[in-house]
Order: sequence, then structure tokens, then C-alpha cells
Amino acid sequence: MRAVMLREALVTARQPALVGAAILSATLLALFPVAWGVRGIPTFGGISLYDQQFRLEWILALVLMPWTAARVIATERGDDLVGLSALTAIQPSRLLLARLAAATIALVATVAGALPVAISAQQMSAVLASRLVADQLALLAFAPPAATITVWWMQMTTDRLLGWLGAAATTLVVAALARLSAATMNQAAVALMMLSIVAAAILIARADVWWRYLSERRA
Amino acid sequence: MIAISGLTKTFEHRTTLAGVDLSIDRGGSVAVSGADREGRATLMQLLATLVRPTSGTIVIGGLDAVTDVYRVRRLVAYAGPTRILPNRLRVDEYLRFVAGARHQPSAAAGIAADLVGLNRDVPIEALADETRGRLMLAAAIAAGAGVLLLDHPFDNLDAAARDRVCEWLVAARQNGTTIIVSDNEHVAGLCDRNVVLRDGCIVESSANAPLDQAVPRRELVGA
Repeated sequence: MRAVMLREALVTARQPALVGAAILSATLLALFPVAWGVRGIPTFGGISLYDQQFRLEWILALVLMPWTAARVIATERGDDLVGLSALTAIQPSRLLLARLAAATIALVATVAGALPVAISAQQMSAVLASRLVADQLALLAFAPPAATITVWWMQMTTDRLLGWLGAAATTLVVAALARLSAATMNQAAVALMMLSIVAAAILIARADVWWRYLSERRA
Repeated sequence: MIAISGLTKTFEHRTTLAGVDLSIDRGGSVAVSGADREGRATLMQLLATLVRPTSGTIVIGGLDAVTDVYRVRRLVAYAGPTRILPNRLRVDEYLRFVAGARHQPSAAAGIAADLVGLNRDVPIEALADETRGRLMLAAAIAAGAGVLLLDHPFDNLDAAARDRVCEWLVAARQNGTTIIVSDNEHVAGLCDRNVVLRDGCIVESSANAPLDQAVPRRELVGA
């Protein structure tokens, strides 16, 4: 398992998309007060810069996380996953577990990359530090659902673009449904994280059956 | 080590293997030959547990290859026409990963790369398709499995690499590795037994002189 974890981590860390997403996210967030000043967007009257920027952070997370996950994870799926399992004698479930972990860590890193910008917004708006911590933890809690949805889609489709589009759409729909059924986005994120653990468990439990053999067409 | 009984495989109403029986002792080696589409590749994939038999049994190291797929995979290593995706890894990193996953020392990766004549520091994506075939062979070697399944292993090797691999195979056999090679060329004399497949059946099975009698390497691989 150690070899698989190392390999997935190496593959993920090598992808330029990881650094690109972190830089893009931090840059857009940093440009927000530059563009709108310390009071933020005027039409959002009564909402502090911190609140406005936090909303932007969520939008970026919803858009960027599936794309980042789709770009950084190792590309074996279907028959290639079967071949890798046979070559390494590692069950597909373990390969996918490592992939889920690597994708989640990558997404956590992109959120963490924007942390200095979030802290500066919190300081500028004089918001409680505990609020900042809770909000950032909620964003981090959204990493496992985004990673799980993306890994599911990437495994179920033969095309990377289709997998990303499916993951992006599913992430948006799932996040919207969770937000509608929860009082705050933070609560929705925690609920989604719990659901993603179930979804990941199903994927891992079925992986050794679904990807045991090559498809008959390929063989 | 390997016991195959009544092995049949049908793909979409086309029978590619029809009741194959074969047994190979530990440290034995078998060369499988025959025309294309006569069932050689399918037999190798069945032994590698990559495809499920339609009927019949395969027992490897005392384990049923159908009911115990993942434990059997720990015993076998397969080099054949499956894809290796680059994922921005270098040759050495990929081979170290395979060796690590198989609990082999990381030095096995370097040895395997040198055997097939691969530059360890080259990114996989920079390798041409035929060179990736060498990487597949190197990965199977680095796996250090007790059963080595090689489908056209010499196709992408130059004469020097063929010699080195052949020499390594002879040594591996002497150390108890069971080897099955599917090829129409190069393998005459490499294995202690030849079987010929036609229409999915073994039509000919013959024994060779023991390899240990120092057959010149170039004759072994027919290079």
C-alpha cells in the first residue's frame, strides 16, 4: 500500500494543474479587494468584505475542485486499471483508495494555498478568528466530496473531458441540493463530506468486482 | 506449479481456446507457439488472470485463478500488449513502483531497466510505443514473481538486450521461476518444452534438451 500511496502522491504532485489551481484561486481572491476595495461589491450592501470573499471562495472551490481533481489524478481507468492491478498485484480497490486520498490531499492543498488571502480578508473585516477557522474547515470538508465525485466520474467514463464535465455538473448539483437542505453552507459541506465517505466506500467495495477482468472487447 | 484443465474461452460466439490441458512444474518453462488468432494471447491473458475463463480450471501455486484472482496475481507477472500510461513518471520511478508494490528491493528496478536496455531517467511519455513494450517486460522482470508470463517478449529488443534477457531467464528458471513464453520466433530452445496451439487446442507438445547444457545464448534467442 505504501508503494501505491507514494506513486499516487508523486503523480498528483507532478501535475502542473495542481500549482495552477492554487495560484489561480489565491490570485482571484487577492484581486477581489483590489477590484472592489475594503467594502466589497456595493450592491451586496451590509455584507462585509470577508463574507463576500468567502462566497467567491466557495464559487472558486465548486468550479476549480472538480477540474483540479480530474487533471491531477492518475489516468488509469477501466482496462488500464485492470492491467495495473495485474502488474502490481494490488487490488483495484486499493489503487482507487490511494487515488482518492491523493486527490483529496491535492484539493486540500489548493484551499490551503488561499489561506493567507482569507486571513487578510478576516483582518480587514475584523471578523472573529473562530469564524475564519470554521469557514476554512468547511471548505476543506468539501475536498473529499469533490475528489470522490471526480474519481467516480473518471472511472465510469472513457473520456477525460467527459469525466470532468460530469464531475463538475454533479458537484454543482450536489452542492446546491445540500445547501437547500442545510441551514448554512458550512453545514452542507459537512453533510456532503459524510455522504462522500459512503460514496467512496461503495466505489472501493465494488472496485474489485467491476475491474477484476479486462473488458471482453479489449481482450 | 500450474495446472490447466479443460480450459475454454469464448468471445462473442467465437471459441479461441477449446479445452486446453497443460501442467507445468515449478521452474519449468514452456514456449507456446502457433499462428496468430489461434489462442496464444488468450491463454497468456487467462494465466495472468486478465480474462475470465468460460469453463475449465487454472490452478497456480495451489490457488484457483478464478475464485482467488487477487492472490494468484501475487504469484504471476505478465508482460504483454497492455498499455502503460506515463502519468509524468520516469522509467525508474515506474519500475520502482512495481518493485515496491511486489515487495521487491528497489534495486530490482535498475536491474530490469538495464536488462532490456532502457534509460532509467527518461520520462515514460518520451518513449516510443515499441520502447514501452520493453518497459512492460522490465516491469514484469522487476516484479520478481514466481511465474513469468511473456507474450512476445523479444519483439522490441535489440540483439544485445535479447541476449541479456535470455541469460536472465535461464538464471531465473534455475532459481525456481516458472516461465511461459508466447512467441513464434526466438524461443526455440529457450524453454524445456514447446506447445503449439491451433484452433484453440494444443496440437503438438514436445520436450527440448535441458537448457543447463550451455546452449549458446545467440542460438537460444535465434538472434
